[in-house]
Amino acid sequence: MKASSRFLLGFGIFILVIVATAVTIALVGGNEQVKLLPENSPEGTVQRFLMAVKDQDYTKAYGYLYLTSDQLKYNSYDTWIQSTQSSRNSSSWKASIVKSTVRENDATVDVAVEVFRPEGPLANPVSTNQVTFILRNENGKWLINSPADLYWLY
Amino acid sequence: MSTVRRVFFYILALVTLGILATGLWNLLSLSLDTILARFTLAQIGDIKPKLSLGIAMVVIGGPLWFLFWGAIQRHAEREVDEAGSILRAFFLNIILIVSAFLISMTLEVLLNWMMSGFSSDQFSPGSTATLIVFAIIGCFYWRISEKEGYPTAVAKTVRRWYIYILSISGLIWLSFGLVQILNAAFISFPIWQDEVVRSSFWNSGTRSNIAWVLVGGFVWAFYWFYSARNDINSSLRQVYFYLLTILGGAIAGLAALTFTCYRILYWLSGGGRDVAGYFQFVGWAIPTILVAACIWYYHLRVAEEESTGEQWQLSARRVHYYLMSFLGLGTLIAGLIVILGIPLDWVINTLKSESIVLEPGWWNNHLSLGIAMLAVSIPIWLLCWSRILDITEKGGIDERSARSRRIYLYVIIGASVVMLAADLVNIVYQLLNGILTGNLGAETLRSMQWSLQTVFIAVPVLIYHLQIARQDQKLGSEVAVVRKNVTLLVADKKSPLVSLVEQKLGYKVRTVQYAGETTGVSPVLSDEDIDRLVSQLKAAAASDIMLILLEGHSMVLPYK
Repeated sequence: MKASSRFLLGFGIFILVIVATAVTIALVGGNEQVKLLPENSPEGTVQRFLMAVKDQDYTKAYGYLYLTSDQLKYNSYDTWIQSTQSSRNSSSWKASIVKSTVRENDATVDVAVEVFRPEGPLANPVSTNQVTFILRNENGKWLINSPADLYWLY
Repeated sequence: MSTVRRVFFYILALVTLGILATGLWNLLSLSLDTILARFTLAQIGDIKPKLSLGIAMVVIGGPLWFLFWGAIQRHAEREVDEAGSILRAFFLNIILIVSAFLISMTLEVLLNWMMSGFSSDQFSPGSTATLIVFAIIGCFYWRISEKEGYPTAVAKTVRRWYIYILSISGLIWLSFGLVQILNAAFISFPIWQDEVVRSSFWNSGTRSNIAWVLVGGFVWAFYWFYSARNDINSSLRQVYFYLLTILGGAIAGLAALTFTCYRILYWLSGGGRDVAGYFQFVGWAIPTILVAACIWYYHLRVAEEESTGEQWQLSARRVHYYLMSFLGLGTLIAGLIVILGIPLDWVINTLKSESIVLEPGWWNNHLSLGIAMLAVSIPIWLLCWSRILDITEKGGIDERSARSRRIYLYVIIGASVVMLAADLVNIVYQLLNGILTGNLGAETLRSMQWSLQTVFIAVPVLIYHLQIARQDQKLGSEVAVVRKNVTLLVADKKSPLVSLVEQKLGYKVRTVQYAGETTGVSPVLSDEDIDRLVSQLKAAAASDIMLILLEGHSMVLPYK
């Protein structure tokens, strides 16, 4: 067998191994459940808000927003619901916490949102948006002050 | 007339023609507007400014155009060379291209109006005026250019650009129109569950698509079957075949096929809950695959049929195999990069498990896309690459030196090197940045994830193709062939001796037919005889050589 043919065979085996590994991870990892963070924490609030958005339970998601924030005080619930509709058909996504800072009555939580959207060969199908959620503590409950819209899903 | 003076006259003729055409368009659209208003009782406002502008443009632009165009024509009658000059060819073909595009676009509007039952609210006076004005201009210049007959090589080349630009445009309009009609028909089927109200299928969009099919079909048929019918073996025709239609058709078809596979795989793995809405893509994807396959297959057959002689047929097949192999390999690499992202992503998540939201379809989406790309690309690449290996084995050094093979190998090696360099820069940058800022960890790995994915794939691709290139090099594929200007004088241009000589030389020769009286007997030459003649051609001191194969005799005559 020629050296190039041997190499091609090796490359074929490499492809098979990669595909088998990927299938295993997708099948096993797909059922993985993320751990719920404490509810009364800035990270927990952001997590529950994002999970409600993922499940398209916008009424629940709205409950995690700080209603007197600059972005919401002039917008009704109906307006906010309408603004979220365009995100319904967006591709699959996942989010992970990058960093969080908690002060006395406010906190910031940096979240990396990775959106899967194929845009052609040799282009990275995953685009990462770094979103900084600013939260306020009101009566012991953490609520999202900004961003109120879902621009980060695009 | 000096070149500057000729350029001056042609530019002014073009500008004044534009003024005259705009003036005529103004007057004609105003007339049509007025006639239409009589039927519809619509208000058309004050027509005086538009009328004045139209008359002014015609009165000024008309005589000026007549003056400049007249001067050009008088010069062309005096100077025989003018008819074949690049300037004139460029001028005529620019007007013909612009006219053809405007006629096609406005014809679509007119057909749409006719299909709407000649509805007065669908009639566009402006479009109709454009159609009439540019049909007159186009016909006028088309007659002139056809009468002159493109006497020089440069005039022929410029004309080819005009023909093939219109051919490919017509084919694109025809294909898009067909896909759109089938998609609209599919969506209009009464099978979608969530529908409560549906508009009529016979709407403006459908009429427009049908009009584009008719216009595109006519434009393509006219330029491809009529205008380009005798243009065999030109370089631009090969570009039209291999880059635009064969490769373009393959790319469109494979992209639609990959997308279809991806959507089906994703649905099978649990994605896409709304079945009816999810599968509506079939309406455009399947017609795209079918139309693209037809374009690809038809042009491939024509390209092979037109390649006269065994050597040129092999060359056509070779170019096709390398193009398809390139396409298959590119998609294979893209699929592997996507799939490799899954284990890497998993490793990063395991190192730093800070995911707070993970959609169930996250991994399946990657996997479906990657497997769809592999499922489409692997059979294509394996099939074409095995054929390439086969013809290389049989063809020896000639095959290894083929230009398409050199381009294929060096494009892949070059692209892999560039990709590797970019990836390594990012990897080293992220590592150094992580070390210097003390943040070396999972986030660093995430920042270089895409680079790692592409490096893992680019390295084996580079090594494999480098091995092949080196093997070719060792066998002498890089030794440059010294081309000579060989003119072959034969009794019959279609003699099989022509392709035999070309095959042995490795490049095309100029063939001329003897005009004197001849018995038509070509010399009977064995393979050894042709090898001897080719050796004489190669050994000749002059770069211009005449090879005579007439009346049973063969002769090599170097000349200056």
